[in-house]
Amino acid sequence: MAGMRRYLASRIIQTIITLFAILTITFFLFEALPARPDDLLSQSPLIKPSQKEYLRELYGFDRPVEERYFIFLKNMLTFDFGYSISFGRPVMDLLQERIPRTLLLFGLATIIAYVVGATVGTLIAWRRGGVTDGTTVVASLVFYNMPSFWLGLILLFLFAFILGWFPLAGYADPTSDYYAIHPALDVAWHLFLPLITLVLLTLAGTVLLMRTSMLDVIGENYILTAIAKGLKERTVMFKHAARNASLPLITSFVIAIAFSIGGAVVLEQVFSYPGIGFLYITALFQLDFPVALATLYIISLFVLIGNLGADILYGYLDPRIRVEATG
Amino acid sequence: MSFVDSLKIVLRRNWKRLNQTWKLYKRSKIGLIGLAIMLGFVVVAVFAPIIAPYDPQFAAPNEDVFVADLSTQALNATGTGIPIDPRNETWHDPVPKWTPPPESNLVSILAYSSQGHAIRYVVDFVSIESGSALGIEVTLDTAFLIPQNTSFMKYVYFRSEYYMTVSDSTYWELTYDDLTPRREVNIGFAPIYLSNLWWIPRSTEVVQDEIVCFAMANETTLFMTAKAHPGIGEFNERFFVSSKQVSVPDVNLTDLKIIGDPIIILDANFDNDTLLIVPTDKALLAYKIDISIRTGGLLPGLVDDVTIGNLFWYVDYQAIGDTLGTTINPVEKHTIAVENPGPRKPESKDRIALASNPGGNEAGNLFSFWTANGTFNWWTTVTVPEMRSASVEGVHASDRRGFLVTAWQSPQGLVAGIEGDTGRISGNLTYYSLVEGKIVSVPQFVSGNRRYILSTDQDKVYMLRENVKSDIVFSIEKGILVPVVYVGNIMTQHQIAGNYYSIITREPALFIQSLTGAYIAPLPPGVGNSGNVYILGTDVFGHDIFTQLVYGTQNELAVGLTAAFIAVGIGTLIGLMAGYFGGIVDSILMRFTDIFLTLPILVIALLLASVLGPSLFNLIIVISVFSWAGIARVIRAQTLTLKERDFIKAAKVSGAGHRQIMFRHLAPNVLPLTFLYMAYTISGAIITEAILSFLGMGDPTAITWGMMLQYLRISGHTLDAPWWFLPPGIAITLLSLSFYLIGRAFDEVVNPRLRAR
Repeated sequence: MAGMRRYLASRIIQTIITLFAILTITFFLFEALPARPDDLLSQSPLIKPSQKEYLRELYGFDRPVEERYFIFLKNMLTFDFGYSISFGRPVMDLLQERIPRTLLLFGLATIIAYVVGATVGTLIAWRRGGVTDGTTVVASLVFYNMPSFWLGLILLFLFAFILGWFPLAGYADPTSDYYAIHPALDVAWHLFLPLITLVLLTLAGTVLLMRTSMLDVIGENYILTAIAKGLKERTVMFKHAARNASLPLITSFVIAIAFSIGGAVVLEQVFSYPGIGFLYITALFQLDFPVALATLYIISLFVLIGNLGADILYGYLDPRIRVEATG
Repeated sequence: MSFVDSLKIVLRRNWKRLNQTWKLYKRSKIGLIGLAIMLGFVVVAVFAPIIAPYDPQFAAPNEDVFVADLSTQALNATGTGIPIDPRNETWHDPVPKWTPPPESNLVSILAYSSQGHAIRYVVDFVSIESGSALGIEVTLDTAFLIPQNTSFMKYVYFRSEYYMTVSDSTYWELTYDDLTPRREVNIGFAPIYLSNLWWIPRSTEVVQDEIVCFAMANETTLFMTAKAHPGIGEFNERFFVSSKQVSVPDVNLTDLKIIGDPIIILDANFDNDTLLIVPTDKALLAYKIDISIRTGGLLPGLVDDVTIGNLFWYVDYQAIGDTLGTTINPVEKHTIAVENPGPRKPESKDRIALASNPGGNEAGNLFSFWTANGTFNWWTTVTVPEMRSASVEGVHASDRRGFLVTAWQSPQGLVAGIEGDTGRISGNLTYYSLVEGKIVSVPQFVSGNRRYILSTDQDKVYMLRENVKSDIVFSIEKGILVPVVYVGNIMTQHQIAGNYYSIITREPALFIQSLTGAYIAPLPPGVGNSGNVYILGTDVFGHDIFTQLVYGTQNELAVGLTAAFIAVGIGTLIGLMAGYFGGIVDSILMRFTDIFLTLPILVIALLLASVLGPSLFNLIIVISVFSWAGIARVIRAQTLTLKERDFIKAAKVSGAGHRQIMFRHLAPNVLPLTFLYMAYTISGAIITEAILSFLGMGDPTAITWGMMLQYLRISGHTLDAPWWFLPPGIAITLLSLSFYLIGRAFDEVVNPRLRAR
């Protein structure tokens, strides 16, 4: 597996370079923002000039750019995020509280979307041309091209506002009936709508991709052979065809993960779901630099780790890739 | 050879290829559907002015968005226990001169009499009470100024927070709860001219502060106070004072005497200048009001200081009179008026009209100037068939755009609507009314009632329809002063608490008409009170949803196509270079591409958008920066296979340079792929625009579907206005879908492998 090792090494190096690129871009974009947190506080007439100086020093803006850049790199890489300006709490505390929520939403949605998407894609490709196939493809095409927040709003409108089945906002509510039964049930109740939205959006792409990929595979001779052998339809469909057809799904995951995280950020906003994406946008608008920088870093890390994982998995499953990447 | 000829040749040469592509494309049902939807949107975008029922800037008129309920109440009928006959008392302007008692509520006083009685109303309850019973010392000599003719926004601001008054040479600012002045400023002179309180909304898109501004003057000095309300992230409100001696430097205009109320013009729509117009006896002066703003990036800008700035322009009456061969003698009061050009109409400019009586001549003249630089615009003599030489009494800004002129030719008064563009009496000389006697009160437009109301010295109160046609006449008893004042819509967030004016007449003896009602936008689909049809309803500002949707198509297509064009351009170039040169160039370019492929795009796009600031152009940049990477990869792969083909080798052997091979030989062959990804990228760009706009990074000056949804979100009507909420989303989905379908169909043409199924 020398090829695999080399492939792995090249992927890891690539990931590290990307991480540095993201950190650098982030830092300079924040530098380029027209306002800084100390500007915000200095607006108050109650703040005296000496205190303004103090604020500048407090946030480290009295140092030259290059020095701040290296301090920033060091802080990020050692996960030393400092204090939030607007929350008055250590950023790490906030992250520890928010990350599990986003991971829950995003992770669960991804798993459901990929499992369901692969299954549905397989089934409709197998019985292509039928009404189910047509309906599913059309529905997927529509969902695929729908703005995520709008779909979220529709679900919110229907199921939370009109029918009142689900809450309008939040992550948990200790006063709810569900909480009384079990807190986890309450969390699930709050999670449902954002989760369904994210699943529907991710699902659309997955179904289409799986269907296309299956159609490729179905035409292959080994499928014909398997059917001719008299194997059960289910066995051929899932064991022979779907397994081979799901390779592109893994590639798509690499690209999808970045999009999907973006989708989670938007949906958290729509559902006021206090995850890391919600935190990011709040911090960005409140010029809470430490929080905004840390959340952006964490989100990027997730994307990169997800990518790396998918790459490794793909390299493992498809030997051709290893050769191409190194050669 | 002309461009058309060369185009013909290119077309003829490629005709077969195009025809074949179309034949293949035609087979795809979804492709045809996509193409049809897309063409539908293109047609809508091109013919937007024809399809849309309204201007893009149109907002529903007040009679549509305010639901009003008119009620009339005779005052002597209310049992107050005070035996008074209103006809026996001298009534003064509603909104009196009074000493505010500690627990008083400003809006509960409407009119007072010199006999010590006050008409009081508390929203829908009207009564007459004695001043002392209210704890009000009703005296004539307390020179307090309280707003009149304030539009609802100004008034509500006044009401909910504090109010400003002027007494002799002291300016006060008081709250309702506690009448200890919040602010007491000695202004150094006793003002004789006082303008209304002005509420200056954000003067640029990024400024969130509301500035309340108050201008006054004595004969030589201008004074202005302003305050900014606490904005986001701001802890203290700020208060600004500024004063200035009026003068025109370096010109032979000395000893100017101010002869009327200074007027503030909010000109933010036009050239971002807010002006203070000052009428003097020799010239009309325009001072800039300098609002210095501190921009804060993600934060809205905050107001740092408000001052009376430099003289911006002036109009020398003498000079203009000389060129026109006439004399401009401004009439003493209400000499100037500013035409409201309507909301956000970039092509229209504010006009200032100036009424003048030529010396000795009986005919009154009107002059008008652009606000932009004081350029002379038109002048006209006010004549109607019945009145050939009326003397102009005043000119007033009309709520119906243009001006209202009041004139006098014994024994009749004249009210006429003047067109702002031409200075002519509007509507083919039918836009006027003759009234009995001299007009003594400024015509007030009662928006809820769509009528002007005014009184004359002949003991008559007239109500004119909005086309200035006489409608209802009330006769009043001789010697009774007629307080015809339209107080304005008093509006809380979305509720009119009242809209009042009072009339004292003979029959019924004294009554007050009040309007109560609510602000009801967003309007559901249907016909408004004004007769306007709103096919898809309106948004919270009264904008017609259908119109916005139609005009939004233009911007959506522009953003989608431009962003995709740039992204595909970059992607193709990088892909070609990487594929063609190979080696180190390939490695560097592809690692670079990989970085862009793995970026959490939306998260960084949000950041980039806030660095660049909100504009359509910046959105295009942001979107294209983050969408080229996938294309580069595909083009590179394609280039790699093409490179090995014989025709490229042949080209190389025959001595073609790199550039020639790349652009002459390789590029045309990757063109189909480029087109394919262009379709996909447009689809993505439309959605990204919507998301960025929705999250607050959109262009507030442009109509896009994303912005429509963003306004929906911030207006708080997300869940109760489906007619506003559904159409933009459906449009985004359909447009994005159409390009995606085109892409998929084209994919089958380009990749024959897909076609088999």
